[in-house]
Amino acid sequence: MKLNHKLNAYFALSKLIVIGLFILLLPIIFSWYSVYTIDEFLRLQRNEVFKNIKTNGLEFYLEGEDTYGSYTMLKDDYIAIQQVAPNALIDPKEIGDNTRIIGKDTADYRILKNVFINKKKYYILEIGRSRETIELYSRLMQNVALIFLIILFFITIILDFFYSRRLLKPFWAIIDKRLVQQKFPFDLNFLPIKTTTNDFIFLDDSLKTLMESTTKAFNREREFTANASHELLTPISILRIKIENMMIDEDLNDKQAIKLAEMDNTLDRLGRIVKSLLFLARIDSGQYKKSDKISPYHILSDIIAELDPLLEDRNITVQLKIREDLQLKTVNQELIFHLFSNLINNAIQYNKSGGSIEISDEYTDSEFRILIADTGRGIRTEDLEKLFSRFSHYEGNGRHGLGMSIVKSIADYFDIKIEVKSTIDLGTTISLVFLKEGLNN
Amino acid sequence: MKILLVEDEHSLSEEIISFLTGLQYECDTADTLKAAKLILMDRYYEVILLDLGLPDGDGLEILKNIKIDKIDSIVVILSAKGDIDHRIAGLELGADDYLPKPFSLAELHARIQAIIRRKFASHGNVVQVGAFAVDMVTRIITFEDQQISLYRKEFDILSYLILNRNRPLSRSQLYEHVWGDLSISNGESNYIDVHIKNIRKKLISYAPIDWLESVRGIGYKVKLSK
Repeated sequence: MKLNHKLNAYFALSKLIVIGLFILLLPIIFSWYSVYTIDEFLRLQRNEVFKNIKTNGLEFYLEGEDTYGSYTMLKDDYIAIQQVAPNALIDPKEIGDNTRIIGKDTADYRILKNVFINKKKYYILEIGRSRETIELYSRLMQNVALIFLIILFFITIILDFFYSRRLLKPFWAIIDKRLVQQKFPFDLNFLPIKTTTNDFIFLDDSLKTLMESTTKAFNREREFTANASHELLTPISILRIKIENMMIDEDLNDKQAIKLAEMDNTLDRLGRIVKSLLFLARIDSGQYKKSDKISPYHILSDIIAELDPLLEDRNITVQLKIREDLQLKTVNQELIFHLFSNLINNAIQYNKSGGSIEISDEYTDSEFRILIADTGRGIRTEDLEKLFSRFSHYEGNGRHGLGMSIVKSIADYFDIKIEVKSTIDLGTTISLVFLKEGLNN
Repeated sequence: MKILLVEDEHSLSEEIISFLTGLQYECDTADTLKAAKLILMDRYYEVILLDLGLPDGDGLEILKNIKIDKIDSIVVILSAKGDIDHRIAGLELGADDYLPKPFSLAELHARIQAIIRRKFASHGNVVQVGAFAVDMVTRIITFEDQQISLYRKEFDILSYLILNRNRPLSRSQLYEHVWGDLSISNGESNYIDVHIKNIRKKLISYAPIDWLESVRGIGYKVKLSK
């Protein structure tokens, strides 16, 4: 799950919880609040009535009658004054709920009762407000609040979404430009990602520093290999040429000639090691252009044709069973030739007399493979790990143990995965796993 | 045929000169860029063997001059700098070939001959070897007008031996010649023997081939009377 998805999910969830709680509490809060405001209103009305009585006398209401009653048209409110006995039982609560019959209708009211004395007579004042009105009022407020909350919820969610996107944009840019797009050797000519967030600036800087130091260390090693190899090549050249000139000399006896030839062979081996190291350094430093379109079928046929005499000599059969129209793009002809030729050479070298080599292909949705299977002596499991490491094993016969390192370097250079399966005495299968994008269709 | 060798490593240039002189080439040397430029102002050379890493500059400059002056000399770059860019730069500037160090003298000779043949399309491309006629340009070998078909690599080996006639060539020299750059990562010692065996098998049905000798402990030799 991506970071911004997580953030947005969290924002939405936390808001939903808060809003849910609010919705649960809303009726309670609103009914309490509306009761409170109604009570205040009733008290205010009472004070109004007393003020009127004080200025205009009770007769202002009673007008000669014993009781006074008035209500609004819809019987939402009423006011009543009635004389009571001094010892009449009055509900001790100032404000309470009760049922009253007003006109011909019975309804629930919130009622304020107040006993007062006027001219030595006891009276009770009742001011009531219909509970139905109160609830109506409360429901209305609840609905308004709910709509408001929902609108607020969506507005904040949208704001959160855009803000977190904006906030994280530099972070994604860092991931994309520094990690996804970059492949070794890194392109270090990059501008810092624009951001005001210090953490991202730090991350970006750190990644840049890390890439720079990796590149530096790698370059140092590569340059050393290249320079050392280069320095070694000149003295090897001199020695080889000296020996060659001596071998032309007709006064040489057989014994001397053989010794010289042996020296030449040794020098040749040394030269090949050094050249292989240089070759590896060249691949690793990305000196080869990736712009060729090649047909594995044709390259493999060429290699097999070149090696045909050797195959015949060893009585090894080769079956080339890959699609003829298969084409690789953005590779380098020379390197791919090296890659296949090394693998086929190995498949011959380590095969038994009368054995076979099968080259086939496999396709899945995202990748395809070229498999080279031999019937050779196989590789021990403990040797598989170091198969690709440089100089980790001596192969004998003047082979220097860099062949598979070259294979690996070339494969890495073109993002080709190598899988090796081997059974002792039965043979080895090397799979080259290509991404489908590398195909030219 | 005159050859100029531009090389700052004296022990190397001495050996190359002695080898080329033995092949009846007329040779001069220059050990710096300056010396090479001076000598080129005076004389014309059919072949220039050019080392790139000279003490006073890059040998590529000579190539540039040659191009500007429209001199048709053959230029073979001899360099220990095996960089692809370097190689491409040299060839783009008009070098005819590029021979990375350490090369063998036999290879140098073969390369010079190949370019001369290509550039001057000279006569005498057909070499009589025993009862066989080998055309080095069309790469056809015939016995009494019958064409004998050889694999490409087989012809490569045979022509290389013929070119470096009367001297033994080791298996590794032959291998390096036929596989070129690829020889660095492959190494099948048996490969050359198998090819020679096949060449012999194909030729012996026409005529004796005692000119193609195995040299014990070394490799093979084509023996031709001078």
